[in-house]
Amino acid sequence: MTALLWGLPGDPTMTAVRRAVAALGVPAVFLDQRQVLDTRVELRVGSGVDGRMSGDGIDLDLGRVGAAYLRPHDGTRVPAVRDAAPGSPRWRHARYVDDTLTAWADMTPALVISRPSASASNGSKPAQLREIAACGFAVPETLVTNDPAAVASFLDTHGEVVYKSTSAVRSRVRRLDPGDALRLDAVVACPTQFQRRVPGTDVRVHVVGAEVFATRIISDADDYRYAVRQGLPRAELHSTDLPDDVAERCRRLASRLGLPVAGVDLRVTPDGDWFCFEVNPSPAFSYYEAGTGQPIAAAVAGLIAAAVTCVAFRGAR
Amino acid sequence: MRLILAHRHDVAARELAARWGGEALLLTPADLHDERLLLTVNGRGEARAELPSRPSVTSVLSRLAGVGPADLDHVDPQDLGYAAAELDAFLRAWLGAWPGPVVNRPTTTCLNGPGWRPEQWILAAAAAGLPVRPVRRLVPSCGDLTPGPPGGGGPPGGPINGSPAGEGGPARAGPINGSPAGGGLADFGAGPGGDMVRVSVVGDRWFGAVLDEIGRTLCTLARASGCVLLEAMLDPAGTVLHAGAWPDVSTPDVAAALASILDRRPG
Repeated sequence: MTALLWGLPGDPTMTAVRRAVAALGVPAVFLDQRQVLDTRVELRVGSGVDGRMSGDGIDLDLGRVGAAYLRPHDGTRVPAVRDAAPGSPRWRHARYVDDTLTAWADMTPALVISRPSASASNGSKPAQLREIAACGFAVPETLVTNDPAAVASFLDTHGEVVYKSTSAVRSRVRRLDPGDALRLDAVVACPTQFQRRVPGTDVRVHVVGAEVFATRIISDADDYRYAVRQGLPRAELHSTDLPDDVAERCRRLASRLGLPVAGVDLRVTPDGDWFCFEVNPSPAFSYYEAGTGQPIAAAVAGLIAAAVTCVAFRGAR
Repeated sequence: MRLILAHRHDVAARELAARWGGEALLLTPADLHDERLLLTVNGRGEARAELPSRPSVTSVLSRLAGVGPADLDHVDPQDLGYAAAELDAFLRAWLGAWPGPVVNRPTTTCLNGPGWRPEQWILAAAAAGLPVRPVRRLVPSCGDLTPGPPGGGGPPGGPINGSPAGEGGPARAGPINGSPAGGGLADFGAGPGGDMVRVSVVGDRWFGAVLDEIGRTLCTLARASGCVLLEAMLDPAGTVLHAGAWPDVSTPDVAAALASILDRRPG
């Protein structure tokens, strides 16, 4: 049995997991997405799932994959394809490979970190908020609308309001200031998400199986990821411990969303209330690992190793 | 009033709207631009979806796989991708929070049911106890690639880690076993010609010339997939060749059964 890792070699999080898997001596195949044009995939489905993948020196029976770690990017954006016109043979090939491996990942009995259908849970942040609240976290009051009058009323009610993308498209969290209030008519173009601003300290939690790694973030920025761009000092990261019940809520949330590995964005208020904003299904945890020394990649590799070992053990019986 | 959300090319949705007359309102994603749309979530995660511009709407039939750039030709081209992703994300939450009946309910990957690819439907049908014809999909290396079938624009759906939306939506034309995943290289193994049986499931009822046992099992498949509406194509021996969430809703039997489900009062 083997592990399959699929992504880009320049991705620091993928690199960290590859190293950690190698350190554990787990047999692993790395599918370099840059070589997508050489990749051949066959998928067979009836009452079970089977298939084969080859190319770039790889020849892999997909039925022998016991665990998969996926961090693929859009295959049409890799260097070998990015200049290809949409609909061209290269472009279509990249799409087919992405789609076929994604289909396999949603069906294989192997451990997948994380299944594409589960990873889509943050495709709609307000929909994900309901899952978050179901696990016992407070969530910020939220309005998504294309009605300027509704936004003005929401602003009146809550005073401090932030806005951000509704979808998984990466966006910076920004505060709605009085100047923006004059531009509210722009929301008629597209439903836009507004949230009551919750004061407090950000805590990023990485759930890896049953393990929980929490990082406290010190920053004055509305979105600490963009502190430097706002002219503020770089965010400080500190490893921290969570109250047991909060850690348990994080585990439950990751499990509810079907995510073996998840990045959970929390904020603890001065009153000690724990809010959760969203869950990242494919967290780039290397940033937090570098800032705190937490062994997150090693924990991910441990999950992969356990899954590969268990499947191999079952097969040997 | 029943709201039908559909892509503009969805002929069956248009015919259904015509059949239902004043009891239905058909809107495309582009039409939503002119509506007032509201979704609120309180601190306990309780969501409320509203359509203040259409207060008579009580239920929703979703025929949308997702919202893509092609659905929004009124938007500035440089904003198309973002606007489509945002409207799609909004509808996913809005449909999930709508207080009345929604058929089919959205999932993380699709605005109409599970958004499964043909292979996932076959796997699920087999798990439900139905005989299936195995599916094979082959993607040769690019050097061996020959052009796909006409009209195949590649697999549908958005970013790979976003919403795969395996089903591309209702068939634009022709049989539902035409091009898998939007026109890929799959082989459904269906023989040439032959008499295939089309079955539509609406809740606990099915419409199509199949044995009761198969009809009941197709209803089980619908429930397992989280769908009220389902379509399956079978060969004369009752082997499932294809299934999906886009039956022809314009036929009288299906339209009537669907109306009775959409008109149920919540609670």
